[in-house]
Amino acid sequence: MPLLDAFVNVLAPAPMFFIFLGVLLGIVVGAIPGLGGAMLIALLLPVTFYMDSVLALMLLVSIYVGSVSGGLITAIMLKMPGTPSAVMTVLDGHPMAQQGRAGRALSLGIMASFVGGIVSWLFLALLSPPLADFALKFGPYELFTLVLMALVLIATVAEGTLVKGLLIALFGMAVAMVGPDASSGVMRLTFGVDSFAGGFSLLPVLLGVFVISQIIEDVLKKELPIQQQGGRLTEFMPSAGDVRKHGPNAVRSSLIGTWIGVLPGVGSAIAAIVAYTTTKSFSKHPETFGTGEEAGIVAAESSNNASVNGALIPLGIPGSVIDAILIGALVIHNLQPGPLLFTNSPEIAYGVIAAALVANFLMAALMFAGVRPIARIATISRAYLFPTIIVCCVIGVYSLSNSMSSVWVMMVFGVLGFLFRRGGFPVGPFVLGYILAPLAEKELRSGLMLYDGSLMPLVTRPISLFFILLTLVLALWPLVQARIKARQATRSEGRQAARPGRG
Amino acid sequence: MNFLTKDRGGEAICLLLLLATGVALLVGAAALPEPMFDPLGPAGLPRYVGYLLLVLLALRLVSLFRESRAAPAAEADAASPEARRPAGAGTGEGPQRLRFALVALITLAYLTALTVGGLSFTWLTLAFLAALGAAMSDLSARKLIIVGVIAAVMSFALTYTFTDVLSVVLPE
Repeated sequence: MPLLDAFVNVLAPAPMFFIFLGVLLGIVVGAIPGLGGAMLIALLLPVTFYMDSVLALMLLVSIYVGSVSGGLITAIMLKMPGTPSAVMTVLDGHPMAQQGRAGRALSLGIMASFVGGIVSWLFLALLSPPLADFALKFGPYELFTLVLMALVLIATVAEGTLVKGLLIALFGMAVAMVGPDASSGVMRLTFGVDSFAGGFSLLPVLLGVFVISQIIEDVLKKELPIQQQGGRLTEFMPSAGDVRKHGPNAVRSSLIGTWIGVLPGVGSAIAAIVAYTTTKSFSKHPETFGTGEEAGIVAAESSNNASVNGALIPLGIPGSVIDAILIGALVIHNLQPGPLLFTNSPEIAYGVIAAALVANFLMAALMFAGVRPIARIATISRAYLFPTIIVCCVIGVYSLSNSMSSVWVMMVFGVLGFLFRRGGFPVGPFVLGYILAPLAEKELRSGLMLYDGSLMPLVTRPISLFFILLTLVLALWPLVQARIKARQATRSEGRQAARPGRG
Repeated sequence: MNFLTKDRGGEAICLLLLLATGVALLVGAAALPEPMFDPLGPAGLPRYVGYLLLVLLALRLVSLFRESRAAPAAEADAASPEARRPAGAGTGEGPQRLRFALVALITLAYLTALTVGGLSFTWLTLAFLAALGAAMSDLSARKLIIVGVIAAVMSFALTYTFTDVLSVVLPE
């Protein structure tokens, strides 16, 4: 029973301390608008160099769980979603706070987050080992087409157009290709620049694109004084009646979140949108959504938390940007991400699963206990936060190679990340492109060697054909949808134009 | 390229950057040796990614061109004196840009000093944290005091944590 052993290990003082720390930091960072789990996990990666791999992964996964939940506090109290996954929580959470029901909104959000975490954890614990076994049967072309699907999927659902998402993903792939070719050792795309010879390491690129670019963006915006609204925390603890009333919605939304989390390339923000929309369409009073409807908060929060564990289900392809960074963390710790983790390092795989459950319990306890101080932390001025964050980034990146050149690389990627954000390009696909390019290239080259240079198995092998067809459907669906909408709009305009004539 | 310059300065820069990347990929791939161990070789993926980048860029330009032609009314609006006002004008973005320039300058000075070396990391970091915190604050006495305290505590705490606890060699 490796999972049982993992629980025994997790309940020791050191893992419990790091899980507690991770959840607490995650909640706080998730609550602060502009910061987020991805930023904190990237920031802490260098610190984990010096930690035991199991503890490091437990810390990072706990931050993930905490950060997705923390966003709801500021979403409800301040109308500022701390994380993108809390955007849908704002719609009903803040109106409830304005109506003086902040405590109720928070308690429902925390309860829903907990339910989402538990439901999806059951899937994580039950499905991970068999899915890992199944994924081990994938050949190089199956893995290559799965990577393609992940890239197209994140480009499809990311902010902006599909073409922009794909462009930025390809840019990420280009950045990953600089340096020595993994198969032949030939230097690629260095253009004679010695500093490019080692390629661009994960950490400076990640910290630049996520942390520095966000700081640039925020410094350019005027800092507005933040005031809490609807701050009276009455009716705080959920009752048995709440469980009966909102239980089915929470479970349904958790299932939606889990399966969206499993999909490569799709994260918790999309899970919240889909679950919210589904709940609204099932509701007898859809018109109340957006005005302080409790079911809206339950749907958004249970689904976004559920997507966290769903995304950890090991296909080896990241389900979100944080997953991509977690995969990077595994690589940094010399571990093989994906299904092989269960075979090669079961203590990590099962340790992460056990930590995810404990983190969910701690998240609920910490959130119920510390809503008020956490909401206050979220109003801390950036003049106090950002300088320290920059110094942490500098130290972290410098420690990677004992060289300031990595720090300059981080700054350059920070500026690039900022430019892309300003140009309306989502940075999520960039990171996935950067992380997945080596995997895509390795699998494509292995496949070509295995099948004597033939690409035909891409369409003759059922699983890779399935992934290709799914990719095509995902890529073309937005175009088809736009065409259908345009046609419907033209028809309704035509009808409206015809009406006066008849009268 | 008129359609790229109206309200799309940020995107235009990104598209140029992506164009340069696509061209660099193709030029870099052309300079690589022929495949030795596998049919794709080291130049294969860079070449495919380069071509794909250029094709998608062309698609984006076409769609931008179509958008600009399909919305002549919006273009006219954009040409109105109100629309020509820089984004954020009147909303305090001007002073923010000045603040940003100051923040960038302080950060560049800090990184340059670390690169050149010769100064103590702790004291340099203390000065950086204090200067940057002040530049980002509203310069009220209360905030400046807090920034000073944070700078003093964090510079020594970070140095201690990274050097003595985590055994990281810090820039000097």
